[in-house]
Order: sequence, then C-alpha cells, then structure tokens
Amino acid sequence: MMTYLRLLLAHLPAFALGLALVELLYPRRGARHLALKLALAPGLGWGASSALYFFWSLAFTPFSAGYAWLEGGLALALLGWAAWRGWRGAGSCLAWRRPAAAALAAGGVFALGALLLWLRADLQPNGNFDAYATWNLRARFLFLSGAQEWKTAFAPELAWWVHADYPLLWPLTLLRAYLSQQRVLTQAGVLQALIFAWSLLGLALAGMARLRGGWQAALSGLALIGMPWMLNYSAFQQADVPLVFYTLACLVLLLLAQREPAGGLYALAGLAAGCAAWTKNDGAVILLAACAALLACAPRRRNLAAFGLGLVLPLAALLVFKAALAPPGDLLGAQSAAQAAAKLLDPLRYAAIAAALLRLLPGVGGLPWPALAAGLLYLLLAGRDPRQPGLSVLLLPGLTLLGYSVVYLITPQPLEWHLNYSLDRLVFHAFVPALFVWLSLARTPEDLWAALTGRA
Amino acid sequence: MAHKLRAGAALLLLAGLAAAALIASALQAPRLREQAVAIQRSGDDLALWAERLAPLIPYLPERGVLGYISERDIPGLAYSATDQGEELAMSQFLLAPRILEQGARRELVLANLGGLSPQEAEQAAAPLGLQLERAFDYGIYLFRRAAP
Repeated sequence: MMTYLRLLLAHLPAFALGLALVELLYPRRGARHLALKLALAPGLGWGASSALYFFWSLAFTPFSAGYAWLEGGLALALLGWAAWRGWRGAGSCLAWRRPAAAALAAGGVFALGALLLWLRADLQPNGNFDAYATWNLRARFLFLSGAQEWKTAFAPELAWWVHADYPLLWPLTLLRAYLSQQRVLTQAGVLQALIFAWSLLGLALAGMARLRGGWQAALSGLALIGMPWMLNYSAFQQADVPLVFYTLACLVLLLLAQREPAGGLYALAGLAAGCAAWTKNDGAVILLAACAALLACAPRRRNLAAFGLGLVLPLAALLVFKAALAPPGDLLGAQSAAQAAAKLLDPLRYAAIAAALLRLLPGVGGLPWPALAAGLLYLLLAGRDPRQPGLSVLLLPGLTLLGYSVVYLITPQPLEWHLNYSLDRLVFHAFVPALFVWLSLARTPEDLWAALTGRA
Repeated sequence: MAHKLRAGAALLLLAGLAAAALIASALQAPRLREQAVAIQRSGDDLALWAERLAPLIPYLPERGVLGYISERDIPGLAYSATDQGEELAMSQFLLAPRILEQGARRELVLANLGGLSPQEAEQAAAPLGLQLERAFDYGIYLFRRAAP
C-alpha cells in the first residue's frame, strides 16, 4: 500500500497541472462542477504533462531531473492563477449543499464501480499481452536503457509487435513513475490503469450529471461498470481505456459547450482530442472524427480557434515524435499506396468486416445478449427528449467506427487475424461514447416518472 | 394512456436492469478478491516466466541485439503460435533493454525449446549453425553461432 501511496504522490504535480488547466478554462463555480473537474484533471494533466515531458526529453534526455521542477512550478503557478481568479469571482467551488437522492445514487454507483475496478486491477499485475509487448515494455526500455541510449526504445530492430511507432502518452507517464521511485515497479502500471479507469467512470457520471442530472448519471455509470469489457480492458493495462477517457472527455465538453457556450470548453475539448491522438495511433481517427463533430455542431470561427489552441501541445508532440523518432508503422509503412488502393476495391474485405461486426454485435460490451436487448428496449421505450441538443455529436463515435473500418480495409496484416485480435477493443472506443450521447439525449427517469404520474 | 403505459414499462425495465446490474456486481466482488489473492500468491504468467529466465541473465550482455529461436524455428517440431508469440513477448519484456530478434542470425541466440533435452536441443539447433553455450532449466538454452 505504501508503494501505491508513494506513486500517487509522484503523480500529484501532473494532476495539479490538469486541475489548473481545467479550472482556468472552465471557471464555473459550485460543487456540481467540481466533480467533473476532478474527473477530467488526472487524464488531462497526464496528457499535457507527457507532451511537455517529451519535448524536455528531446532537449535534455528523459533522465534530466529538472522536468519535475518545471512541472511542479508550472502546476503551482497555474493553480495560483486559477485560485486568484476564483477569489476575485463570487462563490467557491467547495460551497456545500445537501446532496439530493440522485446525487447520492450517482455517488454510490461510483463507489461500487471504483471497488470493482480496484479488485479486477489486481488480477493481472503485469497486464495482458499488449501491456508487456507494447505499452509497458516501452517505459521499461526507456528506463533501463539509460540517459545515453534511451532512443533504443525506438530502434528499427525491435519486432513489429512492439509497435515502437505508437505514441508516448502511456509509456512516458509510466516512465515518470519509475523515475520517481528509481526502479521498475509493477504497481506503477496497475495504478496508472486504475486511475484512468476511475477517471473514465467519474467522467461518465459527472459529465452526465451536468448534462442531465443525477439519475441519468447513475444510469450511465451503471451501464459502464456493467460492461465486462470495461473491467477487463482497464486491468489489461492497455491504452484503450485511456483512449476512451479522452474521447468521452472531448464529447462531454462539446455537449456542455452546446448548453453553456464558453471558449474554454472548446479548448479543453481540443486538448482531450489531441491527447487521444497522443495515446494511440487509433486516436488519430478519433481526432479527425472530433473535428468533424465540432464542425457539425459549432462551426463558428472562435470555437474552432479555441479547439485548435487546445490541440496544439499534444498534436505537436505527436508530429515531432513521428518525424524524429518513430520507426515506420506496420499499417502505413508496410505497403505502397497502390496496394492499399487495391484493397479498398476488394468487395470481399467489406463483407469480412461487416460479418465480423455483425458477429460482435450480440455481445457488444461483453454483455450477455438478454441484457443488451433489455437495455436497447429501455432506450426505445424511454425515447428521445426533443429539447436536448447534441445529436450531431454522434458523428464522433460514428465517424470513429467508419474510420476504423477503412483502416481494416487497407490493413497489410491478414484481415481475419487483425479483426479477431482488435475489433472488440475498437468497437469499445466507439460504443461507450455512442451510448453516452444517446443517454444524454434520452428522457431521464425523472421525465418518465413525471409522465407516469401525469406531472409532465 | 399509451404514454403512461410506455413510461411505466420503461421505469419497470430500468428498475429490473439496475437491480440485475447491482446484484451481479455485488456477487462479482468477492470472487474477484479470491482470484486476486490466488494470483498474489502464485504470480501471474509474466512473474513465472521471469523466474524461468532469471538464471540466464548473468550470461547475457547488458545491451545489444540477441537472436531468439523457439520450436517454430526448428523444422518438424509442433508448436502453438499463440504460446510462441506470448513467450517471445514476455522474454523481450524481461530482457530489455536487450533487443530480441527472431532467428539465428546473431552471435548469441536465446533458445526457448521447452520440450527438448540439452542433447535434443543441440541437435535441433546445429542445422541453424548454432553451438550450445549453456543449458538452463525449463528448456531455456543459450547458443553461440558456430565459427564458419
């Protein structure tokens, strides 16, 4: 337990940086905003900090101790600025009000989900194949190679399945945990995965609570922790849960911005979308889908500029990494444009992808089909609340799935193998955000109760 | 009336779903705890593989590229592609920052030939131009390229 506490302390400056960014860009007061800010802070803090740390590493090597001072100083300065702004404004983010029953229900769902995620996290302390073959391996390589040879982690001699071209948000965050304790620690990966999973659950609850109230929030949290995929993927220490966290963060912020317009929300959405691309190559598809959703729902120049501003840091880190360090990837680097184009014209590949999606559908989320059918029936019976904006945000998960399908069409890997190995996780990236958007548009249990009792 | 019926049915269904989710979660928690305790006692696959490779590590250079062969590199031996992939990945993880390259082209070659005795392993690797340097338990061998 002490090891976990020491690791947690080492991450605090990054969390403070995230909280300061959220507080500065989303300066709304009150306890109901606080939960959302706390859910966003760790992930966005890790995203921004790992991008800054990447540039620091290029300039001074990852082992130069100065970065911890830079990060801590920056976090303190930004938090101080946010506190000064808050002190000048009215109200406090800690103002206490008696929580409503709905808020207690949402809090109970969070407590239950956090417990289940924690229990499941212990089952695979080193994660699954992707964790030790790719994500954690790269942090281990960086740490053990030393200051002179840290770029060995991107050596072309590494096997293709190491995916040395994958972005660095997860490995660099893990590396900082190793460096803080001066050794490779299994617990560092467990904790990182757990915090991302808790943040995702917290975001689903707090985001929905802001959008549609506590009962709908409890429902969205229950849907998330009821999914075996969620519990398993977080324990596997893969980058899929972080990727869904950033996707959902972008989506929640875009939906919020439609209800309470503020440039800062678009900037945070841009940061989240950029972090998705800085997490996994798949995140580039999510970034493009987020840009399309933004254009569809808020195409004003000021919003686009704010989104772009938020995007700059993680996107710059990604582009510099790809240009300066990353070896060619196994998808785009392994075939010519003509070969890829020929695959796009092959109808058998379309059929194989459609068939795999159809096979997956009855068990999506890892749920038994009766539970899925009952959930679908509930959504149909509840119906859509026509007053709720945000249908265009569905473009984000929709285009993500479409983009992934194009990647499968042109993959140089054997298609059946590629689908078997990754389709469930890729569908997870789109399914959680799609479910969230749909719940944000659906009638809430309060609406249904009012309709039943004739008070609608 | 239809409106009320629909709302009532939705609420009933929701209550049933929520109850099922809560009961399933509550039942799951103790089972997860038991499994976690068992894994803490015995170690996961990677921890077990680390024990297997530990005696080999003092005989390896601290960095550089090493060859790696397993049953799939020896013609005629049966193997499971999944197991071979996982064992190579676990070995790469545990031996980092050394780089493992599948095949027998490098000066030093780590062999993971679980089913073969030292004599059998030596015979199997000879056509690949390898000489046995050292044998360890569980079918782990270190070979060196034979002088031409």
